[in-house]
Amino acid sequence: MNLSVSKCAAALSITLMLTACAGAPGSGGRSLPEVLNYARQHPEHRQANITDCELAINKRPSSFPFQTFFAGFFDVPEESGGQAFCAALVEATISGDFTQAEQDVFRKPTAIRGRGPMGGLLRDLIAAHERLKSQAADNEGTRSLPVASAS
Amino acid sequence: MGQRNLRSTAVALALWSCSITAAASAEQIAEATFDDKMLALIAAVDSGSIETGDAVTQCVGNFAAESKTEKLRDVIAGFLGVPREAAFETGCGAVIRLLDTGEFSADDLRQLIEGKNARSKAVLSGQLLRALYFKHEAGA
Repeated sequence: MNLSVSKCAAALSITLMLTACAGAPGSGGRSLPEVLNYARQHPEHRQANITDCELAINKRPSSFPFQTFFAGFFDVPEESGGQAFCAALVEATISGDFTQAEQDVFRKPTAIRGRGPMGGLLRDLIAAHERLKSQAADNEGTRSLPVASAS
Repeated sequence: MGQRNLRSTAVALALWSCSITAAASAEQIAEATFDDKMLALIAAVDSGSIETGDAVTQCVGNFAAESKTEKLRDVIAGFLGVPREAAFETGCGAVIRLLDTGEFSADDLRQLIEGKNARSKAVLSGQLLRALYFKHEAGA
């Protein structure tokens, strides 16, 4: 096999960073960075931001099976990979794990910013996904708790 | 770009386990590609013919010997939240432990390297990264 590690790193960079953060317009003309900027200002619109994120990434041409990769990464069904990615990205953004400064780093060429930020974003994403999963489980548990009798 | 990058992505992840068998001759070592070395190490770990510590050492040594791994070092360091200097040792350690415990199978790692199905390799790449994260966090 004739693969080099530089190709490996470039592939990761291209498939993850460009797909996620380079600014393709969504259906409403909002690029993904714009969606994230809005999410920081309006965290109460979480679901709308997730939807806009999905629109933005679905419009981006990519030969890499993005949804499939994130289905494995988040341990969700393949058809949910993109949604899980956006939910995690918005959560990481709203929570402050993925800061404006970190986001802005991706505007710099890879040669300048290096590959570390991409690894850090992946780390933020998986942590955010697990946090959302835990919150969903807690909410489910709360709903299923027996209601105390008033008498 | 797509197939090459996808394949490279898979290998980038799987290369964390890359190394050579202890029995390989110096000549074989010199001629072996990264993938050859990785497959040999996977086989050795899978068969139990190499100690975990030796496998990690070989893996780290392979990466250290490859000048183009510096970019990958940054990705691993960021993802696992460790200093650059510790990236290969941490990544290799996690992969070898995953193989040792069967949490990630040797067949799946081989598939990442040799497989032809892009979707299969994409999901395996995601699964390996996920497994690495949790293995590292559990051991951190």
